[in-house]
Amino acid sequence: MINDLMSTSTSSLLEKVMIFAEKRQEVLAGNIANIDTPDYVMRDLPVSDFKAAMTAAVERLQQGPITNPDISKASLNSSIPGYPNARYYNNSQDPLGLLNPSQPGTPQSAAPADAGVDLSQYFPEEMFEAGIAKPENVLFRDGNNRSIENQMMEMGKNSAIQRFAVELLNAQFRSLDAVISERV
Amino acid sequence: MLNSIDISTSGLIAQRQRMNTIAENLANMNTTRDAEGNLSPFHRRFVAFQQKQMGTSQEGRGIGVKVDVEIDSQTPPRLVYQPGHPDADKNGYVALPNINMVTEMVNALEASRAYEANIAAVNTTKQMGESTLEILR
Repeated sequence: MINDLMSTSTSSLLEKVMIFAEKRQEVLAGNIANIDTPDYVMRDLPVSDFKAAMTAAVERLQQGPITNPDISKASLNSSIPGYPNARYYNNSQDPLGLLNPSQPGTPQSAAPADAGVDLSQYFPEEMFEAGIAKPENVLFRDGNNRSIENQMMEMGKNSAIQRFAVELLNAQFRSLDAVISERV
Repeated sequence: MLNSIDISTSGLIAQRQRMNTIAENLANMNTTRDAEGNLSPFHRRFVAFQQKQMGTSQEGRGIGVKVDVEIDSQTPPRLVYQPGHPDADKNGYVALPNINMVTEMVNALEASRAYEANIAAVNTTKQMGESTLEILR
Protein backbone atom coordinates (compact mmCIF):
# COMPACT_ATOMS: atom_id res chain seq x y z
CA MET A 1 0.00 0.00 0.00
CA ILE A 2 2.77 2.38 0.86
CA ASN A 3 4.37 1.59 -2.50
CA ASP A 4 1.17 2.55 -4.20
CA LEU A 5 0.95 5.77 -2.27
CA MET A 6 4.47 6.71 -3.18
CA SER A 7 4.36 5.78 -6.82
CA THR A 8 1.05 7.36 -7.73
CA SER A 9 1.82 10.66 -6.08
CA THR A 10 4.36 13.01 -7.57
CA SER A 11 6.95 12.35 -4.87
CA SER A 12 9.04 10.16 -7.14
CA LEU A 13 9.07 12.92 -9.74
CA LEU A 14 10.02 15.52 -7.18
CA GLU A 15 12.84 13.25 -6.14
CA LYS A 16 14.05 13.21 -9.75
CA VAL A 17 13.87 17.00 -9.85
CA MET A 18 16.04 17.18 -6.74
CA ILE A 19 18.59 14.72 -8.09
CA PHE A 20 18.73 16.63 -11.35
CA ALA A 21 19.12 19.96 -9.56
CA GLU A 22 21.92 18.65 -7.38
CA LYS A 23 23.83 17.21 -10.33
CA ARG A 24 23.31 20.39 -12.29
CA GLN A 25 24.61 22.39 -9.36
CA GLU A 26 27.81 20.38 -9.58
CA VAL A 27 28.21 21.18 -13.27
CA LEU A 28 27.44 24.89 -12.76
CA ALA A 29 29.91 25.07 -9.87
CA GLY A 30 32.50 23.56 -12.21
CA ASN A 31 31.73 26.23 -14.81
CA ILE A 32 32.25 29.01 -12.30
CA ALA A 33 35.43 27.45 -10.92
CA ASN A 34 36.79 27.30 -14.48
CA ILE A 35 35.80 30.82 -15.40
CA ASP A 36 39.45 31.67 -16.16
CA THR A 37 40.65 28.33 -17.46
CA PRO A 38 41.85 28.43 -21.07
CA ASP A 39 40.09 26.06 -23.49
CA TYR A 40 37.30 25.30 -21.02
CA VAL A 41 33.88 25.21 -22.66
CA MET A 42 30.84 25.76 -20.45
CA ARG A 43 28.93 22.58 -19.68
CA ASP A 44 25.36 21.85 -18.70
CA LEU A 45 22.87 19.03 -18.27
CA PRO A 46 20.15 18.57 -20.91
CA VAL A 47 17.58 20.80 -19.19
CA SER A 48 15.04 20.96 -22.01
CA ASP A 49 15.14 17.18 -22.39
CA PHE A 50 14.55 16.85 -18.68
CA LYS A 51 11.60 19.21 -18.82
CA ALA A 52 10.03 17.30 -21.68
CA ALA A 53 10.60 13.99 -19.91
CA MET A 54 9.03 15.44 -16.80
CA THR A 55 5.95 16.50 -18.76
CA ALA A 56 5.76 13.04 -20.24
CA ALA A 57 6.11 11.37 -16.85
CA VAL A 58 3.45 13.57 -15.29
CA GLU A 59 0.98 12.75 -18.03
CA ARG A 60 1.79 9.10 -17.66
CA LEU A 61 1.22 9.36 -13.92
CA GLN A 62 -2.20 10.87 -14.44
CA GLN A 63 -3.30 7.80 -16.35
CA GLY A 64 -2.69 5.62 -13.35
CA PRO A 65 -1.24 2.12 -13.35
CA ILE A 66 -1.66 0.21 -16.56
CA THR A 67 -2.90 -3.22 -15.72
CA ASN A 68 -2.33 -4.98 -19.00
CA PRO A 69 1.44 -5.57 -19.19
CA ASP A 70 1.34 -5.94 -22.97
CA ILE A 71 -0.12 -2.53 -23.48
CA SER A 72 2.22 -0.82 -21.11
CA LYS A 73 5.17 -2.49 -22.77
CA ALA A 74 4.04 -1.77 -26.30
CA SER A 75 3.31 1.84 -25.63
CA LEU A 76 6.30 2.77 -23.54
CA ASN A 77 9.06 0.73 -25.12
CA SER A 78 8.05 1.61 -28.61
CA SER A 79 10.13 1.98 -31.76
CA ILE A 80 13.75 1.33 -30.89
CA PRO A 81 14.44 -1.47 -28.48
CA GLY A 82 16.85 -0.86 -25.66
CA TYR A 83 16.16 2.82 -25.62
CA PRO A 84 12.96 3.52 -23.79
CA ASN A 85 12.73 7.15 -24.68
CA ALA A 86 13.74 6.76 -28.30
CA ARG A 87 10.46 7.96 -29.64
CA TYR A 88 10.43 10.96 -27.49
CA TYR A 89 13.94 11.93 -28.56
CA ASN A 90 13.32 11.38 -32.24
CA ASN A 91 9.96 12.96 -32.46
CA SER A 92 10.51 16.58 -31.68
CA GLN A 93 7.24 17.59 -33.34
CA ASP A 94 5.22 15.59 -30.89
CA PRO A 95 7.30 14.83 -27.87
CA LEU A 96 4.24 13.60 -26.08
CA GLY A 97 3.50 11.01 -28.73
CA LEU A 98 4.87 8.60 -26.19
CA LEU A 99 2.13 9.65 -23.90
CA ASN A 100 -0.75 8.10 -25.64
CA PRO A 101 -0.06 4.66 -24.38
CA SER A 102 -3.53 3.45 -23.71
CA GLN A 103 -5.86 2.82 -26.59
CA PRO A 104 -9.40 3.93 -25.90
CA GLY A 105 -11.28 1.31 -24.04
CA THR A 106 -8.29 -0.09 -22.23
CA PRO A 107 -9.42 -1.50 -18.94
CA GLN A 108 -7.72 0.54 -16.28
CA SER A 109 -9.58 -0.62 -13.26
CA ALA A 110 -8.81 -3.60 -11.08
CA ALA A 111 -5.19 -2.67 -10.57
CA PRO A 112 -3.22 -5.04 -8.39
CA ALA A 113 -2.70 -3.69 -4.92
CA ASP A 114 0.99 -2.93 -5.33
CA ALA A 115 1.15 -1.98 -8.98
CA GLY A 116 2.96 1.33 -8.99
CA VAL A 117 3.84 3.35 -12.03
CA ASP A 118 7.43 2.86 -13.03
CA LEU A 119 8.73 6.20 -14.21
CA SER A 120 12.43 5.44 -14.22
CA GLN A 121 12.36 4.77 -17.95
CA TYR A 122 11.63 8.42 -18.61
CA PHE A 123 14.88 9.41 -16.99
CA PRO A 124 17.76 7.45 -18.49
CA GLU A 125 21.29 7.84 -17.14
CA GLU A 126 22.25 10.07 -20.07
CA MET A 127 19.88 12.70 -18.78
CA PHE A 128 22.16 13.27 -15.81
CA GLU A 129 25.38 13.57 -17.78
CA ALA A 130 26.87 16.91 -18.72
CA GLY A 131 27.47 18.06 -22.25
CA ILE A 132 28.33 21.34 -23.94
CA ALA A 133 25.99 24.08 -22.72
CA LYS A 134 23.56 25.48 -25.29
CA PRO A 135 23.26 28.08 -26.58
CA GLU A 136 26.96 28.66 -26.76
CA ASN A 137 28.34 32.01 -25.77
CA VAL A 138 31.00 33.88 -27.75
CA LEU A 139 34.38 32.20 -27.65
CA PHE A 140 37.16 34.25 -26.13
CA ARG A 141 40.72 34.27 -27.39
CA ASP A 142 41.82 31.77 -24.75
CA GLY A 143 39.28 29.20 -25.96
CA ASN A 144 36.86 29.76 -23.08
CA ASN A 145 33.28 30.83 -23.73
CA ARG A 146 32.68 32.23 -20.27
CA SER A 147 29.58 34.13 -19.31
CA ILE A 148 29.42 34.66 -15.58
CA GLU A 149 26.00 36.31 -15.75
CA ASN A 150 24.47 33.28 -17.44
CA GLN A 151 26.06 30.90 -15.02
CA MET A 152 24.96 32.79 -11.93
CA MET A 153 21.44 33.13 -13.28
CA GLU A 154 21.23 29.44 -14.12
CA MET A 155 22.51 28.64 -10.66
CA GLY A 156 19.86 30.85 -9.07
CA LYS A 157 17.12 29.26 -11.14
CA ASN A 158 18.45 25.81 -10.35
CA SER A 159 18.45 26.40 -6.63
CA ALA A 160 14.94 27.87 -6.78
CA ILE A 161 13.71 24.76 -8.59
CA GLN A 162 15.36 22.52 -6.02
CA ARG A 163 13.84 24.52 -3.19
CA PHE A 164 10.46 24.27 -4.87
CA ALA A 165 10.75 20.49 -5.12
CA VAL A 166 11.74 20.27 -1.46
CA GLU A 167 8.77 22.36 -0.38
CA LEU A 168 6.31 20.29 -2.39
CA LEU A 169 7.81 17.06 -1.12
CA ASN A 170 7.59 18.40 2.41
CA ALA A 171 3.94 19.28 1.95
CA GLN A 172 3.20 15.79 0.68
CA PHE A 173 4.95 14.16 3.59
CA ARG A 174 3.20 16.44 6.02
CA SER A 175 -0.24 15.53 4.72
CA LEU A 176 0.75 11.88 4.82
CA ASP A 177 1.83 12.41 8.38
CA ALA A 178 -1.51 14.01 9.20
CA VAL A 179 -3.33 11.04 7.78
CA ILE A 180 -1.20 8.60 9.73
CA SER A 181 -1.67 10.40 13.01
CA GLU A 182 -5.41 10.90 12.41
CA ARG A 183 -5.45 14.60 12.88
CA VAL A 184 -6.50 17.39 10.59
CA MET B 1 26.36 17.98 -3.26
CA LEU B 2 29.66 17.83 -1.40
CA ASN B 3 31.38 17.53 -4.74
CA SER B 4 29.94 20.88 -5.81
CA ILE B 5 31.53 22.46 -2.77
CA ASP B 6 34.86 20.79 -3.57
CA ILE B 7 34.69 22.15 -7.10
CA SER B 8 33.94 25.67 -5.90
CA THR B 9 36.75 25.34 -3.37
CA SER B 10 39.19 24.48 -6.14
CA GLY B 11 38.06 27.68 -7.85
CA LEU B 12 38.56 29.65 -4.64
CA ILE B 13 42.05 28.24 -4.16
CA ALA B 14 42.95 29.04 -7.76
CA GLN B 15 41.80 32.64 -7.46
CA ARG B 16 43.51 33.13 -4.12
CA GLN B 17 46.75 31.77 -5.58
CA ARG B 18 46.36 34.23 -8.43
CA MET B 19 45.90 37.04 -5.91
CA ASN B 20 49.07 35.87 -4.13
CA THR B 21 51.13 36.12 -7.31
CA ILE B 22 49.71 39.58 -7.97
CA ALA B 23 50.71 40.69 -4.49
CA GLU B 24 54.21 39.28 -5.08
CA ASN B 25 54.50 41.11 -8.39
CA LEU B 26 53.38 44.43 -6.95
CA ALA B 27 55.61 44.12 -3.90
CA ASN B 28 58.62 43.38 -6.09
CA MET B 29 58.04 45.99 -8.75
CA ASN B 30 61.44 47.55 -8.17
CA THR B 31 63.40 44.58 -6.84
CA THR B 32 66.76 44.23 -8.53
CA ARG B 33 68.35 41.50 -6.40
CA ASP B 34 67.35 37.97 -5.46
CA ALA B 35 67.11 36.55 -1.94
CA GLU B 36 70.87 35.86 -1.79
CA GLY B 37 71.66 39.45 -2.71
CA ASN B 38 72.89 38.66 -6.23
CA LEU B 39 72.07 41.07 -9.00
CA SER B 40 69.04 39.61 -10.77
CA PRO B 41 65.80 41.49 -11.35
CA PHE B 42 62.66 39.82 -10.03
CA HIS B 43 60.80 37.75 -12.61
CA ARG B 44 57.09 38.29 -12.91
CA ARG B 45 54.93 35.44 -11.55
CA PHE B 46 51.65 34.43 -13.13
CA VAL B 47 49.16 31.60 -12.78
CA ALA B 48 48.11 29.03 -15.36
CA PHE B 49 44.73 27.39 -14.88
CA GLN B 50 43.95 23.89 -15.98
CA GLN B 51 40.82 21.71 -15.85
CA LYS B 52 40.83 18.94 -13.28
CA GLN B 53 38.51 15.96 -12.82
CA MET B 54 37.26 16.02 -9.26
CA GLY B 55 37.14 12.99 -6.99
CA THR B 56 34.70 10.22 -7.77
CA SER B 57 32.58 12.10 -10.26
CA GLN B 58 31.82 10.44 -13.56
CA GLU B 59 33.15 11.44 -16.91
CA GLY B 60 31.99 14.84 -18.03
CA ARG B 61 30.52 15.93 -14.74
CA GLY B 62 32.18 17.96 -12.03
CA ILE B 63 35.27 19.57 -13.47
CA GLY B 64 37.32 21.61 -11.02
CA VAL B 65 40.31 23.78 -11.66
CA LYS B 66 43.99 23.24 -11.01
CA VAL B 67 46.41 26.11 -10.63
CA ASP B 68 50.13 26.33 -11.39
CA VAL B 69 52.37 29.28 -10.62
CA GLU B 70 54.67 30.03 -13.52
CA ILE B 71 57.68 32.32 -13.65
CA ASP B 72 58.00 34.60 -16.64
CA SER B 73 61.71 34.52 -17.47
CA GLN B 74 61.21 35.41 -21.15
CA THR B 75 60.12 39.02 -20.98
CA PRO B 76 63.21 41.28 -20.92
CA PRO B 77 63.62 43.61 -17.93
CA ARG B 78 62.61 47.24 -18.08
CA LEU B 79 65.73 49.43 -18.41
CA VAL B 80 65.63 52.73 -16.57
CA TYR B 81 68.39 55.35 -16.79
CA GLN B 82 69.51 55.91 -13.23
CA PRO B 83 73.31 56.33 -13.12
CA GLY B 84 73.56 56.74 -9.34
CA HIS B 85 71.87 53.42 -8.61
CA PRO B 86 74.21 50.81 -7.08
CA ASP B 87 72.87 48.18 -9.50
CA ALA B 88 73.21 50.31 -12.64
CA ASP B 89 75.27 48.87 -15.50
CA LYS B 90 78.22 50.70 -17.07
CA ASN B 91 75.91 52.82 -19.24
CA GLY B 92 73.92 53.92 -16.19
CA TYR B 93 70.85 51.74 -16.83
CA VAL B 94 69.14 49.78 -14.07
CA ALA B 95 67.33 46.57 -15.04
CA LEU B 96 63.99 46.60 -13.25
CA PRO B 97 61.43 43.76 -13.26
CA ASN B 98 59.06 43.97 -16.19
CA ILE B 99 55.89 44.42 -14.18
CA ASN B 100 53.08 46.60 -15.40
CA MET B 101 51.03 47.92 -12.53
CA VAL B 102 47.90 48.43 -14.63
CA THR B 103 47.96 44.80 -15.79
CA GLU B 104 48.35 43.62 -12.22
CA MET B 105 45.51 45.78 -10.92
CA VAL B 106 43.14 44.62 -13.64
CA ASN B 107 44.13 41.05 -12.85
CA ALA B 108 43.51 41.64 -9.16
CA LEU B 109 40.05 42.98 -9.86
CA GLU B 110 39.25 39.99 -12.05
CA ALA B 111 40.55 37.57 -9.44
CA SER B 112 38.49 39.10 -6.69
CA ARG B 113 35.32 39.04 -8.79
CA ALA B 114 35.91 35.42 -9.74
CA TYR B 115 36.51 34.64 -6.07
CA GLU B 116 33.17 36.25 -5.20
CA ALA B 117 31.44 34.23 -7.90
CA ASN B 118 32.79 31.04 -6.37
CA ILE B 119 31.67 32.14 -2.92
CA ALA B 120 28.18 32.74 -4.31
CA ALA B 121 28.24 29.24 -5.78
CA VAL B 122 29.23 27.75 -2.42
CA ASN B 123 26.43 29.64 -0.69
CA THR B 124 23.87 28.41 -3.20
CA THR B 125 25.10 24.84 -2.77
CA LYS B 126 24.93 25.18 1.00
CA GLN B 127 21.39 26.52 0.78
CA MET B 128 20.38 23.58 -1.37
CA GLY B 129 21.89 21.13 1.08
CA GLU B 130 20.14 22.77 3.99
CA SER B 131 16.77 22.73 2.28
CA THR B 132 17.28 19.04 1.42
CA LEU B 133 17.79 18.36 5.10
CA GLU B 134 14.47 20.05 5.78
CA ILE B 135 12.60 17.12 4.29
CA LEU B 136 10.98 15.12 7.06
CA ARG B 137 11.80 17.72 9.63
